[in-house]
Amino acid sequence: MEQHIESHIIQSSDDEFIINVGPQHPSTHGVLHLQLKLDGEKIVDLRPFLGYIHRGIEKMSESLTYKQFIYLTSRMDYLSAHINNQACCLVIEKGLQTEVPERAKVIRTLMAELTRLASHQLWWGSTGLDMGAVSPFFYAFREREMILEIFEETCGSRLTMNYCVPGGVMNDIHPDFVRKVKQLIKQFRENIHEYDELLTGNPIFQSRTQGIGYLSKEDAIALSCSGPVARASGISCDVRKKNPYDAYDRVSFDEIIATEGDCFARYRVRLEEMKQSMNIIEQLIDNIPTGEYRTKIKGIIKLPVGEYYQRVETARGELGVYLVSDGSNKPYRIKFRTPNFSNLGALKPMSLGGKIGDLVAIMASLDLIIPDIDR
Amino acid sequence: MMIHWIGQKLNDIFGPLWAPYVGYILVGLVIITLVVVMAVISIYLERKIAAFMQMRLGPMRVGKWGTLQAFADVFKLMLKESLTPAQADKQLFHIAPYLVLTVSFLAFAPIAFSPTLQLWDMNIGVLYITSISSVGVIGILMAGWSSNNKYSLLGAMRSGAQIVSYELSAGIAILTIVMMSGSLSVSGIIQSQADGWWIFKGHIPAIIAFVIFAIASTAELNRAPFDLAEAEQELTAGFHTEYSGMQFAMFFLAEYTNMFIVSMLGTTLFLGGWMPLHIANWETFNHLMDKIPPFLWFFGKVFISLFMIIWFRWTFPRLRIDQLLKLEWKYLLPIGMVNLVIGAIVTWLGWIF
Amino acid sequence: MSQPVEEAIKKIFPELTLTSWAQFPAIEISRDSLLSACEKLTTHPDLRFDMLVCLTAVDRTPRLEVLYHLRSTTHGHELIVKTELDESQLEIPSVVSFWKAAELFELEVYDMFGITFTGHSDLRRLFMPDDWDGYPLRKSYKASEVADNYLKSHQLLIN
Repeated sequence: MEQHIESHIIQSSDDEFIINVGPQHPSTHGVLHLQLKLDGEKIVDLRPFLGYIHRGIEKMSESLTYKQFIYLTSRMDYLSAHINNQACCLVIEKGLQTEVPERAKVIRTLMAELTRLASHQLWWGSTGLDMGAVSPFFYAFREREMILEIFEETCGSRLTMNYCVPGGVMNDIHPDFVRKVKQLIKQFRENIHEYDELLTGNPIFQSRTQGIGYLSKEDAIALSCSGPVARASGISCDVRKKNPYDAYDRVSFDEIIATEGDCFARYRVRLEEMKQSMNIIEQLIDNIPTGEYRTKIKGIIKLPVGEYYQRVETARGELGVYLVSDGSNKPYRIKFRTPNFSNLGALKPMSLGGKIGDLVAIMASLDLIIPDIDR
Repeated sequence: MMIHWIGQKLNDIFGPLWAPYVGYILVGLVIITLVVVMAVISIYLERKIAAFMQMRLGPMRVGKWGTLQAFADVFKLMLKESLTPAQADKQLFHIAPYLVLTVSFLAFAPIAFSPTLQLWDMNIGVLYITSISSVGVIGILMAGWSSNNKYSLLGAMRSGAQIVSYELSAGIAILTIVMMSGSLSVSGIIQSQADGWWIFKGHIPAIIAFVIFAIASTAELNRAPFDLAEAEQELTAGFHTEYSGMQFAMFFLAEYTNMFIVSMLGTTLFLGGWMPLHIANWETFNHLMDKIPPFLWFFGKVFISLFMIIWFRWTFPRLRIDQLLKLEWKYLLPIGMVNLVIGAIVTWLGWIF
Repeated sequence: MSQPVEEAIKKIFPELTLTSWAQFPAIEISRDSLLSACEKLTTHPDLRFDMLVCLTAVDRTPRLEVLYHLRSTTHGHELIVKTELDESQLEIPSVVSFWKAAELFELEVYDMFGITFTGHSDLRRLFMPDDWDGYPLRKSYKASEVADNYLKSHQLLIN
């Protein structure tokens, strides 16, 4: 083991200082290992080392049936687990050309927006924590706890729901679902001003995030960033608007775009997205169509020979599922184009020339989930 | 009166030659007990206040409402193994925590808890406190250097730079009050507030000095929002990374003791020490206020300042090291110096309430 | 509105046949003309493929296919570019100079398939340890054998 670590040490001159951030570190949001070359407090070079949580999901999926590999994908971006499952189910339905009932589409969309809301709340809490303000973390979890309880009642599990199946959803929603979601929205709308009071307006927070970690529009496109990272640099790339799927074509919401490209812009984009998610939920929750919640797919699922593709918008960006099928009951090759993998490439241009304290702010604003990078 | 009685008893038992020395030892024990009790109370307070601000309950199981939590923590720390890192400088490594703690104890000498309870009313009381606190920096640097750890050294350097910078602003704020009251001794400053606390009497220069003192002393304590040197979320884990067990408990205790000292100094200088709150011409009110014993006044004010310091920690995010130093050198220091001049003019012209 | 991407491709690359991959138009380019094709794809005003959405590979033994999924943020159209490599000669020029995103994508393909990208500044194994034997996503890779051998050789196996 020692040999391979030495070969990776960045060449350094005498008064430069090499330190490792991670893999175990409270602020890297997972097992990310960065090697930094410092000149005093300034970062001169940055190299990420991955693979600490590589589980070989793509390889494993080649030996699992179509119904089985979906459950592996909840573990990729575990904070948008439902949306990952949704992407896989959509790709299989595209291949089989099955019609999904309206009720299932609306339920899936509602769950996806609740997931997005929960993910952004956790991001907000951990941003405060990384900046040194411990209290916002508890405020964020107050509403997130309500969402997780709703998930537990309907799907059986709080984090990795595995609720989507090809053809619809696994079970119908719990009878209390509509009432609880309405209560959540009401409470969250009343409380969201606290988020602004605790962090957004705080001058210390603003001075630590404004002007820090600038990502230009050209860089964001060249690095294929997506999600709030790209939208804060002025790129319009919301998959829910560009290629609507499930029930997104019948709801109206704004795509939040900012142009400053710094950490504070990414922060504001995500806060606004939370409000837009609440709008979507409100539009759908009263009009869930009646009917079937699943189209039964008979027998073993076998996709016809060919290639299939579907993209969805997870809480962090664009997830693309590429599926190559050879006609058997197992996928021949699956590729998950995950948003965090490309967003990681943005870390280096944003942090070079900055200080270590800024690195923490930049990583908090990028909102990386490492299992999504490593798969 | 009780002091005289104790003095007589000691004289009777030990004879006039040894009595003073036994007296000194007794006093030392009393001070240590007082410090420990106050540290325990402030640890409990901090955890409870933090919990209530975060919508949770805090320690609830150890003792009724978690009151014995601090004892449980100290007990646990005593049972832990005190590790010394491999290439560490052993003498410095072991001395550092004791140095920091001793310095904190020493600063209790001139503080007046009530008109009769003061350990040593030296004529340079305030100067003594500020200079003794400065010696604590040596302990921190010793700890960081002797740990033989890059990160500890970085943390200690940052800590040291921060404390040394903010001592200037704190000193200038203290100087403003000293100038207005005309005395460096603690009892002299408190006596000069007999007709009103300095924060009311001294109007503008005293209020500005109070704000500067509050910011500067929070920074000197290495507490949030200035706790970059010991923050977990940053790279460096601080100068006390390599310490465990009882030695870590010493640093911990020293931090809370320093919190107390800073609160007591602020209370003495700005909030009238043990002087009760009097409002001019409200005789009944003043009479009522006088009934409350002075040491209760003193501790009440100290706990209010303590609450503010704890409140800061759990509300604000952290400042970056360059923002921290910029705040001091570009903002606090110039404002402090201008304030000093204003205070001097105000005193000279007698424009005090 | 810009003309459909198929017409633009037919005009600029008349020698290539247009197929489809999933729902996207696809062209197949040989390894040697890859760089010049990328040049045209990124700079031609009708194409302007400025975003590399994904770079991956599919093992169709005895050949390996490298796929480039391109998107234009200005025109909104998408394209798949395929290059086939023979198993015996797994080398292909790197497109890092056109799209910075390729840096990480190519590292992953190198790690998982063993395809060398010439011109990449820092080709190293991304997920697997440096001394790992074999390329996991190839069809010929036997996962349990390789893992057992690695653990044995590093004295990490308990029994």
